[in-house]
Amino acid sequence: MQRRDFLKYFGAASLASTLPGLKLWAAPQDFSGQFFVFVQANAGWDVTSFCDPKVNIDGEKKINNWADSSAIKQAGNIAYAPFANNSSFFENLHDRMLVVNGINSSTNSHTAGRDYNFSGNIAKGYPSLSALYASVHSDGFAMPCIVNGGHFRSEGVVTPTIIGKNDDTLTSLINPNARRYNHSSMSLPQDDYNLVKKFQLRRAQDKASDDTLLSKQAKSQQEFLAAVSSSGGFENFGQLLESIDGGRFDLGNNFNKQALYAILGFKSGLSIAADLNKGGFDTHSNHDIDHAQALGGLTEGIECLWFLAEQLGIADRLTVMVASDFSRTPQYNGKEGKDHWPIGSTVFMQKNAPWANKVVGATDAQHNVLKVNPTTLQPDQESGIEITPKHVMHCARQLLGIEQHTNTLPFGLDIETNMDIFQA
Amino acid sequence: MSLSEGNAQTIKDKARGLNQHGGGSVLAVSSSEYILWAAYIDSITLNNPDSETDNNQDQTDLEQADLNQGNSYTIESQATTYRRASLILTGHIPTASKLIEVDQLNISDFNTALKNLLQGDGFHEFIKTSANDQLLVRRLVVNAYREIGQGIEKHYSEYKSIATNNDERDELAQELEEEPLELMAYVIENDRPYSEILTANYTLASIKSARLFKADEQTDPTFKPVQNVGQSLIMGRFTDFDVDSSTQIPHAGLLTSYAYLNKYPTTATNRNRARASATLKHFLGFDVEDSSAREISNDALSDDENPTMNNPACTVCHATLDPIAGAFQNFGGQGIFRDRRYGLDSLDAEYAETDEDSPYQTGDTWYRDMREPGFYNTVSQDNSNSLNWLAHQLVLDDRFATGTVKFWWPAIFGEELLSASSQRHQLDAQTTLIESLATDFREHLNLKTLLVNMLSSDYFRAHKKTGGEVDATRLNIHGGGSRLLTPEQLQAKIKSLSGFIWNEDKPHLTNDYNIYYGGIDSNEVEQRSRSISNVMARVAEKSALSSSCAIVATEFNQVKADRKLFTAVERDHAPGNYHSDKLTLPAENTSGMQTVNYNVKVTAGKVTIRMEKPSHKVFWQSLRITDAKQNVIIEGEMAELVSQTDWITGSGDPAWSLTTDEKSAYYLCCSSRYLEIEIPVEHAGQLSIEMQMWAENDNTSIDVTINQTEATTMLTDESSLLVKQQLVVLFERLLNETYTIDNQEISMAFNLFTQLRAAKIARGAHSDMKESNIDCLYYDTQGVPEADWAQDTHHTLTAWRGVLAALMMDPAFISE
Repeated sequence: MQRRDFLKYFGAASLASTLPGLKLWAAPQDFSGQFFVFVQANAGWDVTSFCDPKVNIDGEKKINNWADSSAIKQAGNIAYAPFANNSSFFENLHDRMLVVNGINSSTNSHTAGRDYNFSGNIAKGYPSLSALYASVHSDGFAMPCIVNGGHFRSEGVVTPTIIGKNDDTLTSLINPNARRYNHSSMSLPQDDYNLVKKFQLRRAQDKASDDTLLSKQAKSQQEFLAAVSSSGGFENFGQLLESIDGGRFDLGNNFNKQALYAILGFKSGLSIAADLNKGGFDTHSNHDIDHAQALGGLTEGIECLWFLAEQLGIADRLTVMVASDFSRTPQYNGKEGKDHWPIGSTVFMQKNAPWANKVVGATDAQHNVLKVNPTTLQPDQESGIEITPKHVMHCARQLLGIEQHTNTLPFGLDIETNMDIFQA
Repeated sequence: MSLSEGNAQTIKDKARGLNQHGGGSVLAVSSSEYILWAAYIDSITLNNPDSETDNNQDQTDLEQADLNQGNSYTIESQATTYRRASLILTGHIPTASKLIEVDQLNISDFNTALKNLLQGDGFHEFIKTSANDQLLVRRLVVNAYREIGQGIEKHYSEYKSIATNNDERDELAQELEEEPLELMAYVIENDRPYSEILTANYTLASIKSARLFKADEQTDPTFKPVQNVGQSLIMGRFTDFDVDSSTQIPHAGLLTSYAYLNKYPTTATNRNRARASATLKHFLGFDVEDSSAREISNDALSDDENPTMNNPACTVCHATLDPIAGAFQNFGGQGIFRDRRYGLDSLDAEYAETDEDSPYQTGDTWYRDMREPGFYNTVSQDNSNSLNWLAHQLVLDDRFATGTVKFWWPAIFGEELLSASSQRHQLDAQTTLIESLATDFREHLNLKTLLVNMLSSDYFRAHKKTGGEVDATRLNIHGGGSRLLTPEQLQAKIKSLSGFIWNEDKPHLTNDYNIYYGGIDSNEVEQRSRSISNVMARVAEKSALSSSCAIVATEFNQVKADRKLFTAVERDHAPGNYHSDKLTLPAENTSGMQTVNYNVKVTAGKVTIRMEKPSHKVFWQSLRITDAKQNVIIEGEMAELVSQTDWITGSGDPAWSLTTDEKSAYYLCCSSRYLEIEIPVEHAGQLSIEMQMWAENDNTSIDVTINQTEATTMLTDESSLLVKQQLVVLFERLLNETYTIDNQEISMAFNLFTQLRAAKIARGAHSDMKESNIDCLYYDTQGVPEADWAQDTHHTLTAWRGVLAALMMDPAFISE
């Protein structure tokens, strides 16, 4: 059943419109803005082997083993390390990429680093950017923000949707009335199901309009009503899942599957934001092998994300932000590992963006932060400032057009000196 | 230190461990305790007129909230509290009679009743699941190859004989991940001092783990207290243990369990700090990472002069963290006791062996460039048993009690603790409750008593605002009352109410759909969803739709006394079903023509008399029906009536009369035939039906039903009343909503029932509820054929199936 048919059948629009503050059926297919993907490179990626490449310096501790035999490479205006799967990633996607290097997270704590880079605030209490963006546009989307675990904070601004990785289980929910492996077999005859859904919706509306509920209960009832009222798009999701072509990418791979579900969610009108989670970066030992695996999986998954977005015709509407807790030490420890290092990078991606194919921010040869002029973004040790996750998040909010939204204002970032990392 | 505006921040910071605070870091910056501490210091030190005004205003607001509206909420009944507590703590919904009994108890007896809930298998599972929500130790099986196959194999001589294949390895992994949870359950269920979860000098083991630990053989899977003497200090080379070097693990409750230690693997640089941080958070309620959530200078972060010992920016946390990390000194990277070289220690090999500049000295078990193993300013004196020593320090700390309240808070209240950005007066009330509960807990250390106190609090029992005009944000509490059920709780609720488990071999809700329904896997998803998403609602819906048919079939294939839900009705109780029986006629040649009378009380509207499935030939000579005012509705010879009025339809034929030489009678030849009379009734009341009938054979039978054609809520016949009574039962059992039979909510549910029944009739009135392409997960274990267990000639089972599905996908069903 199409969403509008569903609405017509149940007459839900008139009932829903009587509820203050709840706008159902806001026609998400009319949404023409950007879809947003936030990628967590969880536990601290080594950007000296990625987008802020560093070679070894005579007389100093070795920064990277790969630098013994390889030189830094360049894709467009972006330098990258010849490590893991980087070549494919940067060569294929540099034209839609802005690299922000030299971000000082000012912490070596995983939790603080994630909070800072994912929400803009070094302490907990602020929503992840994906949550905030989804909250602004969530009306009418059945699962506005898809979440895959990791470090995600909603702080109550949006109800996150956690979906697993099993196609059969997920598609079995497209029509809950259908049998899991035999979709022509139903639990209830369709006319019975319609009556039951109508009864459920009426009860949900009655409960949500009870003005004597305590705060938490009132919120729960509103969430339930929204959850059972929004259904459009799931049929599309199922059809797209059946027809999608993974190309060279293994869509059964955990991280690629996160990318797949995000793109299908966007295309089918279910979602507006997704939070992807890739771990394995906390390589205190055996760094080169383990980090190559983690980084390779990350970049392949992001390539997969763009491949699928192109295939479904939404690549022009996709904005991606890739960030981590911080980075890793510019030297190896005794177990061939690398420990925590507060100076890191963030990567933004958007097709045809005037700010793409560019690097802003900088570090020195030993991966120490360099100050930049907040206007020109050029290194300026004398009068410049250090880029912090707060600056980056402020710019990201501006890019997404939500920095002045009422949902965002309670989570102000208190920026002392503005900078525009997206200046063309 | 004297108090003044100038040193207010200094005083506040000391609680966070800053400014060389001798007591280290004790409050996390975003904790409610710190927020209130800072507010208190501000209130007594600030002279700034604006601030003073703000503070005064805050105080005024607080007082107003308290005096005017802070407590403007109602408390739920004892029955509701008991019901909710029972489901959450035992997985059972109490019987209606038990709830009535509980509602009459005085407070003391009520609390006793609550405490009596805290026993049995359900409570056992509650403890373990709730504890795992915090500890997240149920993750060894999914990583069994790495965490068990590689971690345990080289250190336990019995491993090879226990885990001869992957299935056995996984079974062992499952036992090991349950070990710390079972220990907690053992301590709590046996009313042992709760402190023993950390200080116990024993652990718990089941069949395989007992073998691994070289404890007494166990044949019963129930976990029992044992000593772990199974680990070898000489690392086996591919399990070739040719020297018996088994050692006694110096137990420290769950702290020394493999699953707990392995959850926080340590490294050469981490040096047990993750274990220390987790231990502080779980058992003292102190989040040291939260306390360090601030920007640290580049100098401090790049300081290579042992900053964790010397740099104030680092020592703020490390002075607290590192001694505790040191107390874990005997446990290596994955959680193995003294895993370096013949059980010497657990030190990093580079530090102890290859680093020429290392301060290591032979015999050391901890790093000399870190603080000594200890707890704040107290140093552990026995390096061989420092973790057990730490455990005793932890349980003596005042924060052990508050930490315990915080540990069990989500399990009881179904929510996380309020964040620092919450309303001040609500934070204040929460902190007050935590302190109050903790103060009592310190006196007895009995977790059951603490849980009962939590269940008795307004945080659990608050129901609604006293009126719509009350501003919910002004209340001292933000929640209370029902909460969204977890996958485990929803499954338990369905089973308790109906006996049904959706896919019993591997229950769907807690397996396939667990993550989709907001559950955790302790691995990738570590935090439960407390808000329902569209996908979660679909899971609840699928669960309801998939279960309802099987539950209805199960119920109606039992005698009423054995049923759990459908205790008021039978299959033939259909609204407007005034009469239903099997009419038996004698043979005409012995008894002559019979006058058959039916007198039924009906409502106005259309009434249908249907006669079908004759066992042998049945004949009608005439029909006469009158209403409550003696008005004749229809009268005449049957053959003539059938041919001349639309009110009568039949699949029989005219027949010769017994008394006249005319084909004025009508007959049905065989079991597939029917005669249906539908008449308009203008006046409600007694309807009198008189038929002249005969049969050819003795004991000829025919089914007779007299129904209201279109059921309405106005129906007052016995079946309608019973259906409504059944709905009252279902609302109470499933939704904890109590109504009288004439309540509007029951009327609307009754409408749903009659609409579902009408829809079934409109689809062709199949005689069972398994219509074409309709799935039913009922499997009769007695060999009863489908035609019997799904038999639904009155179409009531079909209607109940839909009603049950509707109630099971209701917001009140998935919450409790």
